[in-house]
Amino acid sequence: MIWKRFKKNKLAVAGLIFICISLLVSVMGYIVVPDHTADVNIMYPDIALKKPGFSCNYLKVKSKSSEKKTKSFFSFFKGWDSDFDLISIDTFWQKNDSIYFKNYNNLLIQNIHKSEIYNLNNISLKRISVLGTDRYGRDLLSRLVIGTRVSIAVGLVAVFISVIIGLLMGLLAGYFRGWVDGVIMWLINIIWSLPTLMFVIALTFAIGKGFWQIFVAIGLTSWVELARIVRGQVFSIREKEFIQAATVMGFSNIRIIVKHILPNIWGTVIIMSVANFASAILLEAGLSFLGQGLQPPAPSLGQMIKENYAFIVFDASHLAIFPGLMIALLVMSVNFIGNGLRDALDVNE
Amino acid sequence: MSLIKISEFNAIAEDIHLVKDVSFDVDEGKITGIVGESGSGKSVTCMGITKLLPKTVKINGNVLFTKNDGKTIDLLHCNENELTKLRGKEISYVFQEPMTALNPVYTCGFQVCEAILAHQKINKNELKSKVLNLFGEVKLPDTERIFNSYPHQISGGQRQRVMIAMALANNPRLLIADEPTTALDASVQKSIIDLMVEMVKKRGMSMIFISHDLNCLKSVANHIIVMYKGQIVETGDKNKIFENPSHPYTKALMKTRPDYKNAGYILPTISDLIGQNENGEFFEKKFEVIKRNKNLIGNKILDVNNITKSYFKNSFFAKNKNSQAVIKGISFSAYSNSTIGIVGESGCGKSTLAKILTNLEKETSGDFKNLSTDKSKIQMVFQDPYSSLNPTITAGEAISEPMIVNKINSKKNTKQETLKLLELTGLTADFYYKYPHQMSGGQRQRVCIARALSTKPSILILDEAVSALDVSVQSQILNLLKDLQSKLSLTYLFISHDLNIVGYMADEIIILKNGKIEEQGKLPEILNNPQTEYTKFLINCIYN
Repeated sequence: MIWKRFKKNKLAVAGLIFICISLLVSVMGYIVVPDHTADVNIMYPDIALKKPGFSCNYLKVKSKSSEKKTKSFFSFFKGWDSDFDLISIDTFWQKNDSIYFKNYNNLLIQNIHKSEIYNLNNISLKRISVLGTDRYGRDLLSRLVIGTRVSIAVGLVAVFISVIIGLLMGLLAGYFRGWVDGVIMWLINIIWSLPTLMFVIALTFAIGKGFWQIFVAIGLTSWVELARIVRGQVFSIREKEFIQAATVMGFSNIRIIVKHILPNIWGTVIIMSVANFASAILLEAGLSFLGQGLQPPAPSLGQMIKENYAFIVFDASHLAIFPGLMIALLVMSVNFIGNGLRDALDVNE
Repeated sequence: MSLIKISEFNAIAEDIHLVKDVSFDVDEGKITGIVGESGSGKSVTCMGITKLLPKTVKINGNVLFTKNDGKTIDLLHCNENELTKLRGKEISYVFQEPMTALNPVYTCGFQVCEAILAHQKINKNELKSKVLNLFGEVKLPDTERIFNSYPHQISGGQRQRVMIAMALANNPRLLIADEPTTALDASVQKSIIDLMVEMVKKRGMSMIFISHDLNCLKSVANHIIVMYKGQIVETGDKNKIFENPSHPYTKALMKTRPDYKNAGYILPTISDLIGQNENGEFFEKKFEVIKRNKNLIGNKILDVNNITKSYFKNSFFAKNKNSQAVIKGISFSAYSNSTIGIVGESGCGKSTLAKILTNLEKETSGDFKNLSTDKSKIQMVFQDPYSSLNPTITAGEAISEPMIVNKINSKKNTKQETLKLLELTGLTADFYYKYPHQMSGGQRQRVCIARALSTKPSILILDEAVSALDVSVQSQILNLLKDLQSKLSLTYLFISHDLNIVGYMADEIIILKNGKIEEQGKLPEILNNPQTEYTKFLINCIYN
């Protein structure tokens, strides 16, 4: 029934498809991206600032770093080191026991011993940087995917935290009223009177700047609106006679709240959560842009814009445009879904 | 001469005929009453003739209206501009709910001024004196104060008077009143009806008066139209309709009314009285009046001892607490297998009393004792069947939940017991899986009654339990309640503002006024020999 009505809204369905694809790609994350090292941080200074669709040959040589992380379950979240290093080249040839090669766009000929090659049967590989490379020669597509993953994760966790706190606070304030409502509203008003960005920055100073800290900081600020709306809804539902009937029937407060009030406000909560999801993504991007979010080299959309916005006026504007576009598309899709849901869940129609 | 001539008026929404082939005239200076249950199409007709219905409802037919300047126009073929000029000036409306029909953020005076300025050019001083005159005309007290009051600051009856003043402001030729007194107290109803009739007669206007209550039209209309399922089933002169009704539905409407006189009998319902043959024609069914067995009144089961209830206005700045007494010392006893009717206007404290007896609120002083042997709690059935069921829960769950929570039955037996309760309240087993929005008002109220009975109470409070229901459904529910009482030896506290229904239901009666018992005693004695002025007034309002 709800799905039937939701389907009618073309934009919402388009948003849903886009979010599903982004979700799928970012869940797979390091498995699907070309560069699967932690934080997508392998730099190729030779091929910095290349246009989208740039392709180049690489020589596979044995990895120099002595300590190598083994692939484990956590690699799925953090990425893993390659067994080999890559050197970007124009051409290479074999002579005796040495491999001679010319670095990319470099006339100088260098050579290395055969033993340093990772696999003699398959000395080189060709790779296309679909979205080009940034100023350190890092693959932009990989960074974009992992950055999107961070954004979606921030959105989900922030929504999760805000729904738990907001729902609890809203239900308590709306149901018990009196001094409980007074205390919670006091808290809400205080948090509301602080500019959100300032508050999150202050929080990150207190609890540190990292992956999980961002989640907590954003979650702790975005419950406020949800709590207020839930409170208002509970106020009106509480006055309905079926709640009085439940009280007369001898139901406990918890039962009334969970079984009789909560199912009647799910629609509102879902719609609010979707809106919170979008604003959490924006907030994270803003924080990262200001340098208060994820710390480099970890990729996040806001931080990618920050790193690259200077290039907008040069010939590499795509470096800032792609992450910017990604943020815009994510937020827009989420908002379309929210609008679609609001219409679909509206009982009055 | 007819002022408005409606012929073959149809309203169709999604292929369903809301109104079918309705034709009638309203003569100049005459009052036409339309009576019918909800869904009969009476409101749709009256909104439709000035195209006030939503665009999804398709209307056709002819509505010829004779304007002030003598020209006759067809309202259904007018454009929106022409209609706007007519509405409020030549045809005006008074609606049911005076609280929502007035805008709460403007003063009453401002809103009436606005209605005048929409159609007349008039200067400021003249305007105000005109509105004050109007207020005087509709018998509002202290006109200057009301002019500057917001709608919530005045009583329901006064609000309806303001609405009437607004409707009369531009001297319309036709007034359409859609259940103007339904939301008001019985004692106020009569004075509002009298006022409207007086105004209409004095100004030589015509009026269409819509009501669900045939008796209400008795003192109003010259001409009565009876509507049923979107069609006119009978029209005629007032006297003819009341003294010699010809259509089975009209006859059924009169017989199905609960009343003190038919108290000992099973109420006939509309479906008992009329049927419809294959051609869609209505016929009269034979109905034998069946007398109920007299209830044997049992032991004392509830003892209420001098209960009072005050609300404290807790002000943050002021130290002194103002208390407002809502109930000022009420004592009575109830006996098993009997019904106490509690009658009073809104604000007399009858609902607060119900809340105290069901522990929804705490009494300020006094106490009450539940003397039933099993000490089961007092249960309650509420007025509005639409808001007293949780929309997200099926009927079966709603009925079984109290049994599970109060551990009355084992899990296995609960479903069995629920089905039994559904059957007891006249519902089939498939209602177990139905949600409230899949049921009609009467069915919902049956579920509410089944739910209240699930904890096996011996005392049931019925707080205006049939007030929101249609006449035909009302009689079914009242019969059900009577049957349940004799089957389960229940004690009812029947709270109502309607003395007719209480007269049908109750053995004893308590009349409340301003939180005090005005009069109490056995029902026939009170009705036949009222002691206080207030009781006499109430009885006069209803039984005239």
